[in-house]
Amino acid sequence: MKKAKEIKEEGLVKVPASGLLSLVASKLKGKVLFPKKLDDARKYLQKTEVTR
Amino acid sequence: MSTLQNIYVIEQDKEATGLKYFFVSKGDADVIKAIEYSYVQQLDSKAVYNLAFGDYYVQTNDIIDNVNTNNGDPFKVLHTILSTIPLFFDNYKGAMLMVQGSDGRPEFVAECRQACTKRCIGECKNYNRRINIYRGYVNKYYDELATDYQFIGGNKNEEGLTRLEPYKRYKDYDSVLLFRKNT
Repeated sequence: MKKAKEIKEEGLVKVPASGLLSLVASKLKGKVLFPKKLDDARKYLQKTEVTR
Repeated sequence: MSTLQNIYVIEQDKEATGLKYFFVSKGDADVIKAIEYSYVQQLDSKAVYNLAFGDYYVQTNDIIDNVNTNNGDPFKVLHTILSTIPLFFDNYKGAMLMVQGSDGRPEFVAECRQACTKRCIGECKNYNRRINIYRGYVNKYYDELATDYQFIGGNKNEEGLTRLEPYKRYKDYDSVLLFRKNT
């Protein structure tokens, strides 16, 4: 009987981009991704003068 | 911005504190990109959200927003980011959006000089580079964009006061704010 070809995956699996992005979204749920930028934005708008 | 062509497929995730988008930049390598719209504060009775963008590394679970990936697809990445702006306004009607670059922080120049290979004499060429890319897009398509959006330009002075004014095409700003007209 012919032996099935052995496939070495070395711990890697292929995931479609859509599945990967759903996975990333669920992993990062509830997390502020850019806290430093949010802090900078708050400081930036702390003292404003609006010219119309 | 809603008619942009040649963009990546995006994944949207809406939460109480804001909105996130993810896509895979398929240039020289596959790089996961993350876009986040976070609530900042009220300004002129409008809720202001900040747009932030960076790379996500699955192995380390890190988000990095201060590197130039140089993945060979800058316009496709830029267009994909811009394509999420109308989606943001669909989700947050009446809100205002603020865009700044991560290279516009006061401490950026000192940090850049430590690792920079450009050997800039005088002004740092990377300072405000990212906001200039967004401004370049606004300036180029201003007439078209101004039918749907009201733009505001911002500059912070040395005393820490941020002056906001109606956007003047081709003028230097360190931030751009915008909101949808008639909402």
